[in-house]
Amino acid sequence: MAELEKHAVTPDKLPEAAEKMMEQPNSRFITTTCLDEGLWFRLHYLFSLGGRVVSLETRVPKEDPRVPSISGVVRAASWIEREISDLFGVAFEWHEHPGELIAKAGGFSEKPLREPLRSETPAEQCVPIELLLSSGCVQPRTTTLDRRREQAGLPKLDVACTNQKALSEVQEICRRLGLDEKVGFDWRTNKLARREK
Amino acid sequence: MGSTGERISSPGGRSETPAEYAAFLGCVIPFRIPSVEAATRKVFERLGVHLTDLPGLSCCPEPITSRIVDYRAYLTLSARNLAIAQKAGLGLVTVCNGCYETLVEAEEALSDNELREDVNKLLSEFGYRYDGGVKVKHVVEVLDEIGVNRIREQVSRTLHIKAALQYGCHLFRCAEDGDIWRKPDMMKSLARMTGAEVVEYGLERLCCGYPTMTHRRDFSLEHRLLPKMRRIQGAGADCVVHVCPACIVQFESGQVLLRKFGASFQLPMVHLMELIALSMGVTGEELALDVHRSPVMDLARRLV
Repeated sequence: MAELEKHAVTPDKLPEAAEKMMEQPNSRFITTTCLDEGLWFRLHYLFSLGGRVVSLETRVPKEDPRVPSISGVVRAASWIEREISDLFGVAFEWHEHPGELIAKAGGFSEKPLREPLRSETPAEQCVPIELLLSSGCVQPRTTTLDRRREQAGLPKLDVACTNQKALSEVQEICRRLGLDEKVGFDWRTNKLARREK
Repeated sequence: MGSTGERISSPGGRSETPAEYAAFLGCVIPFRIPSVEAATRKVFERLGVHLTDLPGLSCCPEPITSRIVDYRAYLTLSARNLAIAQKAGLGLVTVCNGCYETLVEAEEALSDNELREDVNKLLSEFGYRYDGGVKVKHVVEVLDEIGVNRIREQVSRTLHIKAALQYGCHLFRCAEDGDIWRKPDMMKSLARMTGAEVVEYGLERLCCGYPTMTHRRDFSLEHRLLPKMRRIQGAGADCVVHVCPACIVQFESGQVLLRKFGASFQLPMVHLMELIALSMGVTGEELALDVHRSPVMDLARRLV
């Protein structure tokens, strides 16, 4: 049996990537699976390309689980997306035919497969980690203090939270080491997923 | 920019001190208590030690959280800061106990060749390399090397105050078999040099409660800060002198929050560098001491 070929895709690129899959010879959409990874939902979009199974993978934060629907380019994905939406609460944006599919028949309104948020990051460490990842510094910068610095004749600071190149480096190092994924940092909002009680 | 290699020495100094350091100000001082930065710059200027601001430094990173959450990220970010200093050919001086501990411990960990090369593999993608050997010093060490006698030459105003010292936990950290009181004793000598009378209160080594404040607030206040403040007040201190900005934050906000436990305190929380700057004749206004959340400006005005 051939090995599963995986491609990581950012959520915004999914429809385009799915369309490319479908343009391949002898291609067909198999299904989509969703995994609850504590702070994230990981979605696998499985395609068969002439017998070769290829997976497009993406992940979305559970606190804001929005992902563009591929139902516009892959009609067969319509029902599985609605099913995942019913079971996990993933919001498939711009879905062609949104709405409950199995929740009504199953008689549930909660998302039965969605587990509470859970993170390895202790709650008390969330604020400094969020600040470190979003600004490169663990003390929030305020305009009042910037003004006071100026009044005191202090030089303009050239540090990670004021220097875009330095901040990008710090963020990329954290990304490359997987710190963002470990703590559940959402780059779209620059926020950390919080733990549910 | 590289180091000039120039060094200063004085009869009172313990050793020759480089005439140029890279300032590692950390996060809390520049963005919450910039008066400490102002004081540090003025004191070093008067002592003829040039402080260079290296572009692009980041958080040290914060010693407690970063190591707990991800040791590798802690080490790599710290190595990035050390590599910037190495490229400039300068040693780092910190005015924060937390930054000091982070950088010193990272520097030590990176003496392991395998670990350092592993970290360098990622750093090299951003144009950095750390070969080890950057000297990281706490400001009390630098001042001690310059020498109390030499610094005293710049003192123009004897501070007639009683000062309780808050050393901060990380100031006691040192290499195995070292003297844990080495840096705290330096701080004490420097405080005394200003004319301040150092009052002992017996709980100097108790943590101020800052690290536990976010998740055990009442414990931090009632069982860490409150006993310290009671003893400090009982010892008749006019102010508390610090070398750690986290301790300053905890004491300043904490002494107000202690009202919940029926206690009322309003002591000025002053950084050692501010105290030295005041003794050198710098005014509270020049230092912008009103950024403090305790009556440090009032203290400065009383000293004129």
